Amino acid sequence: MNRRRQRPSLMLASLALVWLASALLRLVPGADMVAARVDRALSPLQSGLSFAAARLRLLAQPGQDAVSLREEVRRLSAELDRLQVETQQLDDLKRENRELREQLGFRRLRPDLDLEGASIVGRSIAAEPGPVLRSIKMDIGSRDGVAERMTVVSHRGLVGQVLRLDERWSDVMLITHPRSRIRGRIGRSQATGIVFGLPGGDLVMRHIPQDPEGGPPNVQVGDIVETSGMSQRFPGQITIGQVVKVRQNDVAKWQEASIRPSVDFDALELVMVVTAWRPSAQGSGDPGADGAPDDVDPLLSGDANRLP
Amino acid sequence: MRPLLLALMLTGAVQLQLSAMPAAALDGAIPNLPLLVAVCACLLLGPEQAAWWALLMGWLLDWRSGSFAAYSLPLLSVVLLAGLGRRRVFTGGLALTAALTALGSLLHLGVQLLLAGRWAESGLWTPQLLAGIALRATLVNLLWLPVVFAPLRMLVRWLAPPSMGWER
Repeated sequence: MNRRRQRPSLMLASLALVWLASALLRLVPGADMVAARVDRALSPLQSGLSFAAARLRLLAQPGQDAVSLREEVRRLSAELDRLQVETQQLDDLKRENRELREQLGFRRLRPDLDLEGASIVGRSIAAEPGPVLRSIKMDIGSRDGVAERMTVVSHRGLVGQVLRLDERWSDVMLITHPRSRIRGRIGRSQATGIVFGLPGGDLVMRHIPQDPEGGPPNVQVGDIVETSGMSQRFPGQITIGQVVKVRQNDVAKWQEASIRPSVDFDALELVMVVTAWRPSAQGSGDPGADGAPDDVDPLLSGDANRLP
Repeated sequence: MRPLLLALMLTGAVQLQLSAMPAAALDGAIPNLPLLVAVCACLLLGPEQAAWWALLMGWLLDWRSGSFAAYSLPLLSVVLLAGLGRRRVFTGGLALTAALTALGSLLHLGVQLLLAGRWAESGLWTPQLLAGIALRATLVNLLWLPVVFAPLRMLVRWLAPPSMGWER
């Protein structure tokens, strides 16, 4: 026990003696030369040790770099995700902005149409699931000033007519609905006819008068078809579509034309409801004056709000 | 399946059909989720249960469309057809489901056209036009069939493990 307690004291005493001896050794002449030789003898060992330490440090460095690089990659990935979301949002805003500008342009072009307020611009939120019946649902209703049978348009052209509505939503029967009948006019020749909706979303214009002898044709491929303004249902001069095919038979009384709608109904998002409009002088309420059948308002035919 | 959960699921499918599926239209043909669900349910669960499913989805679509029987009647017709074509063994196969989906799509369209036919102007609904519509509707439904069939089969197996054919 006593020996164990004495050992630390002896060690401390020995260390103190060595330190004192080395300090005194510096005072002894020629001691520096001995120290230099010792240093020289030990230098290879020191070089080896420093080289090994440097190599170990180099070996340890990539691990640290990898950790920091992983953190950097993670940070940059998060930043990239955030920027991608922002880009998508900006794209959406840009597209919406463009559409709104186009709607605004349409409004400026047609001062005769009352398209009051941005709240009238509705977004189509649902569509008929089948290829036969064609209608959309808008997120605006009677509280926004919408009423039954109002005309719905987009900057590209005629969309349809409000079929039924609630306070907050309204259903629009598209012009491509098989029940739809619109009196149209060929923009170039001013010839009129009835535009029918077809299953599958196509349009056909019937009851176009035969071409006058020696004169320009009443209808030809590429002609723009617009609303005639002769009925009380739709304002005039709203684009319906473009003629893509003409079927003409000399023995028939009328011509017929296939029309591609100007509105892409599959990509329809923003529409406007015409809350009021000033009928043109042509809208005399005598749409059948040229002998063609009238564009009977399907909503007034006794089975409103009941499609089939 | 619990009635409330089932109603929620079918209502969700109808809402998905109305709001999301138009964005998946191919050449104007919109995939018909209720039809696919009705056919798959008929083959996986039997015509009785599928008829209730079809009726619920059809009513929801009729109510949404404001058109009486425009969707419920075609969907029930499809279930009837699928029930007739249903085999007693290996009813979970995709091939039989695809064949019945193709036939069901044609029948669904046919019934809808019959119902809407009173608006047809004479000579307007040409066979070429109707054939094109039928082809597009059938193809787009066949494309979407696996998307409906696989999860529904998993759900049915999860809720009720399959029994052997002769146990039915």
